[in-house]
Amino acid sequence: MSTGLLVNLLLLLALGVLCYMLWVAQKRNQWLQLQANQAQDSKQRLQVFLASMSHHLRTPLNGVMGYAEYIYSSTREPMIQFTSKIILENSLQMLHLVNGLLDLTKIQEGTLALSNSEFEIQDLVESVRALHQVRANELGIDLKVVTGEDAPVRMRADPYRVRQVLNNLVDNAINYNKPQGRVMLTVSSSANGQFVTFSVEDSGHGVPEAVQKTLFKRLHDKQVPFVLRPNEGSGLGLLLSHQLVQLMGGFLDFSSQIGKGSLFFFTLPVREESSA
Amino acid sequence: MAPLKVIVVDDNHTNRLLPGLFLRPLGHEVQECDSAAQALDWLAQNHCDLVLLDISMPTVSGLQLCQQLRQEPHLQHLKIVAYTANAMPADVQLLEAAGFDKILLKPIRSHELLSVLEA
Repeated sequence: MSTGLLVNLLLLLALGVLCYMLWVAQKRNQWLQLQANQAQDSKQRLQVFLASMSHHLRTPLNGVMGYAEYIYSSTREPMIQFTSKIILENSLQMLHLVNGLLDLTKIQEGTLALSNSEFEIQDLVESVRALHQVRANELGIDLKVVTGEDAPVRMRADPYRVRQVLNNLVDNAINYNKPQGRVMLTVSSSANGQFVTFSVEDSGHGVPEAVQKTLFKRLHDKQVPFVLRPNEGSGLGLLLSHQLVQLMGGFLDFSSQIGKGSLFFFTLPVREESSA
Repeated sequence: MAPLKVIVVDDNHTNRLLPGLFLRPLGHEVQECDSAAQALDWLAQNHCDLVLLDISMPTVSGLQLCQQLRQEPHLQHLKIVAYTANAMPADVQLLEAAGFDKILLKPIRSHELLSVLEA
């Protein structure tokens, strides 16, 4: 075989290989595009499903809560007031769950939008205390707010979400407390006033050691069958709080001693010009 | 506050009757309608201050009805409030952009309902 023919054959072969590689690359791109489209598609389908579920849960809840409130406000009969209030409180819990599940899904999808405004920290903390005062009184729990001398006055963040996290922590501190227990909500400054730390300390039962490790990822914990778990919450509130604080550029952590109580705290950037 | 004439438009019977339970004892006049068509008929013959409007209704949605009402020259004074279970942020933004004065999310509390009347 002459050298010329061999070179031509090799060139032809190289051309063939090149064409094949281009074809493979094109197919691969098409496949990747298809995968991306499918992922986008299933994300959109999930969003539509969630919006629909939210709508279909809220519609009957409107009836349950609305009529319970009407009954409660239109009678002086103690037993009817007592029972209608229970319906109201329980449906509120259900509403929080509906909202929480939606929030969590939005965080995991990366579609949760945070607002950003400046607000007085003391006002927010006071409103959280006021919201829980009645329940604390009912259980004989001493609920206190303590503001450190160096605590920043204002901060820039999403006030709705900061309140949501605080409400969750205070709610847990009250619900997992002992009768006549204490709950202390403290605001303080850290890192030369660049960060603000909110902490919620209770004198409750403490978080069991086995639960401590998975407290912020319990929804993924499939090892313990649900019926075998100790009496505990859904875990949604803490999981959500943890992720919300992360999303706002801070961190949430806790320490706990069995029989003595727990301290949950989170730190957020203040981001306010005058205090920087 | 002066008594208002309120119309509640909702295809769901339970939710249609609810606002009236809180509003009538305070002296407000409340008319309930189960569809956009019925609401339009009533509005053509009666004076009204405020519309509480469900969004997800068959045939003509609350969104369509709101847009239609906004085009009526003699109804420019009308306050239109969405009374809806569509709570997703995208839905709320859409409603705000569509000309609703306020958005009242189901489940409602009586104080929220009353604050809508006062504002």
